[in-house]
Amino acid sequence: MESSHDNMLARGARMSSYTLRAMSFQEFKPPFCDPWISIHDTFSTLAGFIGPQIASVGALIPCNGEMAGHILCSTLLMNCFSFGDILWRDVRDILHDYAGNFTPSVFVNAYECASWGYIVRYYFMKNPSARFVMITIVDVNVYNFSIWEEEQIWGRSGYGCTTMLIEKTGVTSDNLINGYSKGSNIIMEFAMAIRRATQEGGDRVVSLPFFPDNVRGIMDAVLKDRIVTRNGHARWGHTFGSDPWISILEHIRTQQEGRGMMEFTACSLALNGYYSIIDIDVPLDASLVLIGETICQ
Amino acid sequence: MNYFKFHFEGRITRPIYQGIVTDKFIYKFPSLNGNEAIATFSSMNEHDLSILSMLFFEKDIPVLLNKSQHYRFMGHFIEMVEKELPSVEIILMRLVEPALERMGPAMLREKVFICQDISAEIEELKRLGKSFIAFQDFFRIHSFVAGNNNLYMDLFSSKECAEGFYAIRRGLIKMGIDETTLTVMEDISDGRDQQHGT
Repeated sequence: MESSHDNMLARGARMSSYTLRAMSFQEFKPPFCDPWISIHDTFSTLAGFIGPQIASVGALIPCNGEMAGHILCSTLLMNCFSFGDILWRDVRDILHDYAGNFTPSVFVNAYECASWGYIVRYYFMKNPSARFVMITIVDVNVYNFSIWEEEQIWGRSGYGCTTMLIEKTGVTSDNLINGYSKGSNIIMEFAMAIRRATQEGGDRVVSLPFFPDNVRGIMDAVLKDRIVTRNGHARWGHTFGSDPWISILEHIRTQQEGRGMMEFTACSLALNGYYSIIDIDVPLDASLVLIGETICQ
Repeated sequence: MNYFKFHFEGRITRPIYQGIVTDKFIYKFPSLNGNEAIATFSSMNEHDLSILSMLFFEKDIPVLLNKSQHYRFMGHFIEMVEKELPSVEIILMRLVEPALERMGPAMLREKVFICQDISAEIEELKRLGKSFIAFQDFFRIHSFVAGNNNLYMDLFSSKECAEGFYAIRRGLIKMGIDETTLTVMEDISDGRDQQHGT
């Protein structure tokens, strides 16, 4: 019997080194909390959403699967830490009550929307024998600051949390690109980087961030001969690092009939020009949940 | 195994770069047409400003470098480590407010990892026996950013890296960092706690 990788080789496509074993997304409608309650109470409320999601994905880690780590990342969660309003160790303590042993050890926001890619690179680099990494992407406007509600490039903001379990199934790191724009036209540079990365893509579906149509139109034009996921900006807004992952969930939901393993290239761009592009397979038995709706498993 | 910890503590008490230390809170993003989209706190509405007014910000800690200068400093540090300690596998750094400006290429290199609180990761890298340097600064880069202007540098590596560590220490002092604690070398090969001092 031919394996899916054999099939991919027969089509001349690049094999992925990464497999998405589980993923769950939960949306937050603004305002998330009363801005006048304490930041500790805000994070307690947040932990009530994130914790069960983390625990449900964490429960799927195989007993013999060595973990590289579990990391929380964000674009918007920044001011509360830089203001000194709360410390990461306090957030960990709050999360521990809900997520238990799966509580993330580290918080990353330096790479903004592309943080997940830099995390995958680092955690498998420091621990090459590890098989799994779990990443939770959280974006919420904890103070309800108006400046975060909308931006020139990304348009309306969307909020939510995504937890995913990624398995390293190959030996090459060619399937993960962490780059950055050299100039000021970050959208074009990002689109061109995706174009180069997907030139041997076969049936691979390119999962892009959600942007307003005028911005997304530039990317779609550069990638016109690729299969790309639909722009979910009108529905979700720009949900920061979660965008390409929501997009994968939505795409699979429309492809349920007779689908096999699907191959994606997930892409995120930070407003400061950092980007991450990863080839990732989604097998038929992956556990996929979109706002409480089980897409798969 | 020969595994040592080298520790340095310092602080800034005066500007370490020439130029104006801006205290404007500026979000500067590159936009599609190359112009810069700039939003400042002046564009915040009454609600935003009311939230800010409820927060406590230390008044006695001076702002001695701005965001650009902070990134410049972090980039210089990475370049010093690459030059003086090429065998170090990982450069772990702390950054709490990343969104203001684009980080330089040095900060995006593969051996560099930047997170918000590096303490748990230090313990994990020690457990894995990695040769790494951990750098934490608490510089106040704006009056709305918490900080005490201290910095801490810890190298976990073989004893042979001592020379490189002290070269970086000299480099930091030359850049204008005041050493506040005598640099200490500690043998942690077998969980021992043997301080050698300098």
